[in-house]
Amino acid sequence: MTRRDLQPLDWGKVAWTGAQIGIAATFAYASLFGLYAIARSAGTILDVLGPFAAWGTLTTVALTLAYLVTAFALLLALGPALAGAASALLIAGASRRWNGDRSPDKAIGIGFLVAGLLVVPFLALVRLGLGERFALAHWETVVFWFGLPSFVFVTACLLTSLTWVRRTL
Amino acid sequence: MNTLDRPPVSAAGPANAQARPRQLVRRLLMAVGLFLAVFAVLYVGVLRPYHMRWGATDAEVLQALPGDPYIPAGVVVSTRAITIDAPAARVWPWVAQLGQGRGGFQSFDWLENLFAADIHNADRILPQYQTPRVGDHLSYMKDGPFEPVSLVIPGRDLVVGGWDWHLVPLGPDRTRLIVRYPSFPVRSWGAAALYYGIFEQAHLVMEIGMMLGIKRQAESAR
Repeated sequence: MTRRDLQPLDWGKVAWTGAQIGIAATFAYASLFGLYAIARSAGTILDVLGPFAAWGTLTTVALTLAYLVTAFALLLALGPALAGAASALLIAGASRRWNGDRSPDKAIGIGFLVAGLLVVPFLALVRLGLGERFALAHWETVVFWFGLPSFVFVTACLLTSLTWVRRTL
Repeated sequence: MNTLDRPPVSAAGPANAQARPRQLVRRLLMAVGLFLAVFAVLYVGVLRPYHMRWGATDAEVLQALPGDPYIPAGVVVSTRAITIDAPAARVWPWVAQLGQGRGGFQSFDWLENLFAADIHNADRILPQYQTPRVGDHLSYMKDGPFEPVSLVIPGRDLVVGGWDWHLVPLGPDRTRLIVRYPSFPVRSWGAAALYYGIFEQAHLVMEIGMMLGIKRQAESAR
């Protein structure tokens, strides 16, 4: 196999698709969290006010939480979009170079490699920047902002790599 | 034919494979835009008038409170109220110990701690925090912003900055908790965007949570 055997690839489209996967993943994560936050706060409201007095408060808090989660997701979506674009380019490049035989095992390896290349330096920078706050004492903060999103990102890289091999090469 | 020159395995082909996420994200962003537009109208027309005076009567909204002199001019003020089925003497200890590093805010601490606030709601009265004094600092999060206690009327009022927790006895077994909160000064477009776009909504959720938390604690400590 030589490089000239490869079909030309529209790298812009690859990056744009990756960016969109990043945006979609951000909103999916935010939606799941929003549902959790609404359900948990509703439990407290119902517990204290009772079902008959609570409907106005429930509606206000639920809609407001949904708005806040959406607004945060919209504000933060740029980061995942950039990460998605970068990882899609890396996965495409690595798949064309090292996985011409469309091996699922290699695709998984490439997915992990690309995810690690982006996640590990990112987490190291966050650790340096946040210092003491990036600690087990604040495990909720770390898991919510970095742990679960990193898991989503690694999963997305694996699925993208496998899908790329199956569909696009 | 080289493996890389084969047509895609998927019958949909690469063009459609890329079109799918593009359509999905376009629809997603349209849905987000629609939700934000509907929420904005609903918020201004219905939710904001309701939550800025959540539970409070007209008289309570207009009533002067001891903390009013500490409210700066030109800020947005909310007045919220709730009836607690417990005497003021049983409500006050939960108000007195409010604060990060003290008894928490009795709000949704699982939300506060997503921002490294390190706030933990006490489930008992903490004797060491029962006597707040003017000048004490009340923190909103660990190593974060704090405000000085401006006024304390034991058993009746705690004022932090201009934020006033005011207790009104309603007979021997009931108390009205009125909470008046002044926003931070909104003097620039950036501050206005932050306040009206995020802070006001976040504060309403947390303050309602706090008032419900105080009610639950006071009523359960029979």
